[in-house]
Parts: sequence; C-alpha cells; structure tokens
Amino acid sequence: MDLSKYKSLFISESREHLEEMTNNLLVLEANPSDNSVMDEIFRHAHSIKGMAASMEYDPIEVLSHTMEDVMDIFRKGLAPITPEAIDELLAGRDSISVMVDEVERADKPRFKGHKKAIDRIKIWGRKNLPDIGDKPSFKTSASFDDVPETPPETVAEETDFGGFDGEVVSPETPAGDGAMPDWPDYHLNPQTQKGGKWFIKLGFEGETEAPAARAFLAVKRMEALGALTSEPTIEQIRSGKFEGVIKAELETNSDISKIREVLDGLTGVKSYQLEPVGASIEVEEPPVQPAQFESPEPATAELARTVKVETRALDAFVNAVGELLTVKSGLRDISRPFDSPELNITLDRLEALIHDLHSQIMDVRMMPLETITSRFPRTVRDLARTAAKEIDLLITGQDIELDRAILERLNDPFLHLLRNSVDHGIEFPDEREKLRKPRKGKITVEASREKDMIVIVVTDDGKGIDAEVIKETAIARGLVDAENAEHMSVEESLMLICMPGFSTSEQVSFISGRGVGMDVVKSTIESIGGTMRISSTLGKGIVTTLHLPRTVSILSVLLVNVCNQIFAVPIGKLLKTVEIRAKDIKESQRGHMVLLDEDSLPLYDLKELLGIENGEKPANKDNGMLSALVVDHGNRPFVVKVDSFMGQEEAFIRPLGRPLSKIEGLAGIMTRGDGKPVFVLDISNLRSGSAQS
Amino acid sequence: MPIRVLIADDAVFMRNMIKEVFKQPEFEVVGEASNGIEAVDRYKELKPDITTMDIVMPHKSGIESVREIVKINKDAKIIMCSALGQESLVMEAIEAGAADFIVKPFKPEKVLEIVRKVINME
Repeated sequence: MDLSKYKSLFISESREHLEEMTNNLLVLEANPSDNSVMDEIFRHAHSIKGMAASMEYDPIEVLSHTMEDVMDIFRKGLAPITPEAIDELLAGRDSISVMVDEVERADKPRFKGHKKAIDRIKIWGRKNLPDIGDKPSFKTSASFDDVPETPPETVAEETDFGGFDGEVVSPETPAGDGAMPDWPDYHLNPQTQKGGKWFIKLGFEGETEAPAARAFLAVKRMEALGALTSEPTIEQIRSGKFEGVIKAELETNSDISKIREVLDGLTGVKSYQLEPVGASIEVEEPPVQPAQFESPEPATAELARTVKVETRALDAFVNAVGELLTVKSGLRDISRPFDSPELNITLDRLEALIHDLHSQIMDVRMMPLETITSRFPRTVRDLARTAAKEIDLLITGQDIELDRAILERLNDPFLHLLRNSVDHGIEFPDEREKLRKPRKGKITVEASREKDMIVIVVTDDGKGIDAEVIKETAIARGLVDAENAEHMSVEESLMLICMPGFSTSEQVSFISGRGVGMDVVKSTIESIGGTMRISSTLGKGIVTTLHLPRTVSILSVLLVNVCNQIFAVPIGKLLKTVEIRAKDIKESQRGHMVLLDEDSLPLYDLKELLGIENGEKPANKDNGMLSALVVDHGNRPFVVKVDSFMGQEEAFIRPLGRPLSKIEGLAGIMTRGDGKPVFVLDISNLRSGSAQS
Repeated sequence: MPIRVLIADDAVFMRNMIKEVFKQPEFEVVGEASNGIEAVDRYKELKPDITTMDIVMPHKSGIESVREIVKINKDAKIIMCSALGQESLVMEAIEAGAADFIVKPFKPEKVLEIVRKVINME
C-alpha cells in the first residue's frame, strides 16, 4: 500500500492528538486522580501509536507505546501522578511532536535523537514506576534500535513457537500420547461421523500477532460447537499461558464437515489434527489462501469541504481588494463632473460589492484567539515549574476571532507578559502564604469584544509594581527629567517601563524586575494598530489591557492638511473635530492648553509634532477659528491643531516596510483615489514621542 | 449484492486505510463512526454485514459497543481492530461477542482473509 498519501493525514491527526494530550496532561496535573483524563491521555498515545505503526515510523510508535504503558500504570492506580511524571510525559509528547514535524519536513525522516527521548522515559519509568511484568515496552531497557523485529510483548514473554515444528504428529503416532497426563479417558463413539467426541490439536504459526488472542478465539469458536475441554484452558490462555499449541476434546452433535469449517476458519493456525477419540489420526493442512489482495487503484479523493489556502494567497486577496477600493475612489472623483445618477448608482453598487467581498475575505482570514492561547497553559506550567511557583492560568473568550496577521504578531507580546507575571509578578508559594494570599498565584487572560475592537486583559495577583519606584528609576536612567516626571499620572509613570532602555535583562532582580522586553511588547501592539495600558496596585498585582483591532487594513480615516501636505488619521482614534478660538488657548508651564467644554486639554500642533515647517503662518480661517482634532486617549484626551480638514475616506492601509516602520507615529500608508500615497498617523504615539523628546 | 461494511475508528487516518482495504468489488463501505456511541447508532441504522471496530475509542469503548450491538443482533459480525499489546482487551471483546480481530499495523491481504472467513461463517 502506498503510504505517502496518508502522510498529511497522519501529521494533522497526530498533531490534534498531541495538542489534546498537552491539555489533558495539564488537567491531570491539577486533578491527579482524574481517571477519565488518564484514559484520554492513554487513548491519544494509543492512537498515535497505531497510526505510526501503520506508517512504519517505528521510533514514534515505540515512544508512544512507552507513554501508553506509563499511562496504563497510572490509570490502574499503581503509581501516583506527580509533577515529575507530568514532566516526563510532556517531554515524551514534545519528542513525538518533534518527530512528527520531521515527518512533515523530510521525505525519509531519520528521527535523530529519538533514542535519547525513548531512553529518557524508560529510564525514568524503571526508577520511578512499579515493575509490572506485562509492560515490557517500558520494562525493557532497549531503546528502539535494539528492539528486535518481533514485537516487544513476544520477546518479553519468551514465547517459543519453535518447538512445534518437530512436534507435528505423524499419522502413526497416537494422539495425546504422554503429552497430557491428566487428560480424561476418551469415551469413544466410533460408529458415527456425526456427533460424538473429537480430539483436536491446533498448531499455531510462530509469527502470529497476538497469539494468545488467536488461541482464545479458537477455543471460543470450538466451544460454540459443544462441550469443550482444552489445554491450556481458556483461563490459562487469558493469563498468558499459551505456548503455540492447543489440545482439546470436543463433545458435539455437529458433523465433521462443520467442525472442519470452524477449524478452517481460524486464522494463524498452521496445521490441525482432528480425529474421533480413539480412532485414527487425521492431519489437515488448511488450504493455502492465495494472496487475493491486489493493490487497489489510487483512491479518488473525496472532494473535501475545506481546502487549504496559502496565507500568501489570502494576503494577495486583501491587497487586491485594497486596490479595488482605490480604483473605485478614483472612479468616484472622475464621475463627479458628469453628475450622472446612473453612474452614481452603478458606483454605489460597485462600492457595496467591494465591501461585501472585503468582509468575506476578512472573515476567511479570521482565526480564533485560541490559535495562540491554546499553548499558554503549557507555557505557564513550564515557566512556573522552572521558577518553583504555583500558578493557575485562566483564559476566557478564546473563541473571539481576529485577523490572522494580528494573531501572528500577538504571540510574542503575550509570552512576554506571561513570563513577566510568572517570573516577577507572582510570589513564591511560601511568601504568598505569609502575605495571606492563596499559595497558588493566578494569571488571567480575558478577551472580549468592544465595538469593533478586541479587548484583552491580562492580570496577575502578584506583587504589582510601584509607580514611584518606576519614576525614580526612569529619572536615574535619564529616560525622563525630574520635572516632567513630577507631573506624570500613575498610569503614565507605569508606562515608563515600556521605554526602551528602562530595564535590561541584567537587571531582572530590580524591584519587580518588570520592564524586560516591555518596550517590545508595546511597540508590537502598536504596530498592529492596538494600544496597551498598564495599571497596578502594589501588593495586589498588575493589569495589562490591550485594545486591538479585529481586522487589519481597512479603516475610516480623516484626511487633514498641514503645511499643504495631506495626512490621514484613523477616525477610531478621534473623539471629535472642533473649531477653536485663539483666545481659548492658554500658555501653561506644561505647554499650550485649550479650554473645551469647560475642560482644559493639552493642545499640540500637528506641524510641530511632525516637525514640518515651511515658514507659512498657520492658515487661520477668516473667522479666526482654528481646526483641531480631539484625540481619544483614555481619560486624558488631547487636542491637535491642523490647518484644515480634507474629508473622510475609507482607506486601505498597508503596513510600512522597513525602515519606515521604525518611525514612531506612523501607522501605515494609504493610497488615495488619485494614486498619491498618504501617511496614516498613529496620532497618540506622535504626541508621546514629542513629550519624551 | 456487495457485502456492506461499517467502519468504527476514532482516527480518520485508520478509517481511510481500512476503507482502502475494502475497495474491492465484493465490498461496499456503507458507513463510518468515530466513537462508540456513533458505532452503535450507525449499526442500528445501517445493519451492515460486517463491522470493523476499534477497541480504544472515545465516549464508548469498542468492547462496550460490541456488547450493545450483540444485544441488538446476536449474529452481528464484528471484527475488532486492535494494536499490539492489547491481547487481553481482544479477548474481552471476543467474550463480548466480537467475531474476530485484526492487529494494527495490518496488512490488507490479512484483513481481507479474516473478513472473508468471518463472512463465510454461519
């Protein structure tokens, strides 16, 4: 049979089992006596073993078989589940995973390192698990290469079928002679071929798989014919006392042809002997079955309901839709002078269709958050084990869907946050007890939808961080000057840990040690159009809130003009646009403030934020009013002055490539209907950039 | 009339392999089940001539399913699909009423040999 066509199915199905296995192992660690979970894990190992055996990936088979045996010991209650046991099982699982990866990569996988993996769990098992006779795959010290071709079961039981060959009874030899000392006297009924007592001797093939089960089935089938006494008995066979031969006496009403039919129907029987008790001996060779199996035609694959699509293709679709939108805007511009209702209706229709197409493509690109969070329990578990801490992880909202491009970028920031919480947030169990906290720390990841954004809140109940200490450190490092620091809110102070250079890996022990990689976290979140906020109560823990867009790329933007250049600002970041009077602007020691609806808000000039100067005076309107944007920034909105508004547009936003992506305050680039590129501003970041400089 | 086959196995991989084995003019795979409960349901519904049954399955084990199917039809012909090291389970399944068994990794010709023998049994 051509195995190659099963390869991809083997890979995908094995991976499903492996993933489930991880989850189950973590559940088991938390509930060490949960038998149903043990059964599940056993079943996953077992399924992988079966598939690997069929695919002839022997190292995977041997390793999963060993894990299966270990699980069997646990589920029989012969050894307790310990964290070390979970470590070993996880390690075994990981090794299988690596091997499955290799199957995917290589035409002829060599499974480098498999010996080590197999030895590891076996050595551990020998040291830590009770010695059970019927678990030879685990008992044997041999690693895969040393395992002979015969299955380990057969080897360990030292079943020897060899003796039978010389024992085939010739017609002259009286049956049962001396072989069965306790055999009861035969009650001969020689006059009839129908009914009566029969002596039967079955010799089994040496290579039979599951020989005891074959023998068992043979005895059961013969039993169905009448009263049977056998040696070994069915109970003996069940407990493994089977040496390749069954001798039996059968009292039956069935005729000889029926008995033959049953004996011929047995598999694995090399030869049998059937004789009326006391009569002459008959040796039958079962007819040799010709190999009837012919290699079938390659299977015509059923048409699947799902197809795999290269993610590149999806990206190309999105780009194409983006272009369509741009072309449509161009058409709109061109059509304006004609003022033709028909043309406008057609354009409306085109626009609706493009939006439809866009939302469908976006849906295809959506993947549940689970795609990345499913690995978190394992990650946190391993980190906690390493750090000698006890931690529960709770994840909610995993079914919430995000664009895969966003998900891809989220993995690393999340790992940073989780690692920080485990390493620096959650205290050691004893320490927590002293603080009257539960020994087990808790980390939660909660995702929810809020309008068209996804909100993900990561919390821990660890020691938290002190805004004042953060500020002092930032000042000491020269990241912020003392005067600025003084005016910072708690939240702003906490955000200082996200400044590059706030903390380095050498300084992990500093206070909570947080800040490791937080600058990377923040910039990654922002690069996908999200925001990050941190709050913390000293001694109670830390809360990191991420606001993320669900989809990439198409956003409503407001086009603004400054110094005769056009920039786009995502509408989602704006509270409103306002006209302000020059007299409402006040100077303060922190810069300009403007009075808006009785609130005094900081005012910035976009020109200054961007560093553009062309010497022109601000284009004050005739009535002396200035155009400005009110930017949504949590509970501290601010105002940005522009020269004029150019209108609103649906823009397809492309991420900036390197090195432009490094520039703070730029979220991407869009193309207007006339084909000219326009920078899309990440307006809240622009301001923080200027505040820091 | 081809011999109607029901395949019960939780692994798509295994089901596909077994299906390929039955790509013979005399057989027709009429149904598949991915767990024990489904196996019993599909059996009731399809009344197949032969059923291949994985031993280790979620929700309801193959052995438990055999017991239930035999209750419905004592002459049901069920062939267990076992793996190495499952002899005692195979015996349990035979006791429960399974007609025969095959051992993974199986050779197609072996499977057909056993299936044909079971079909020819009275």
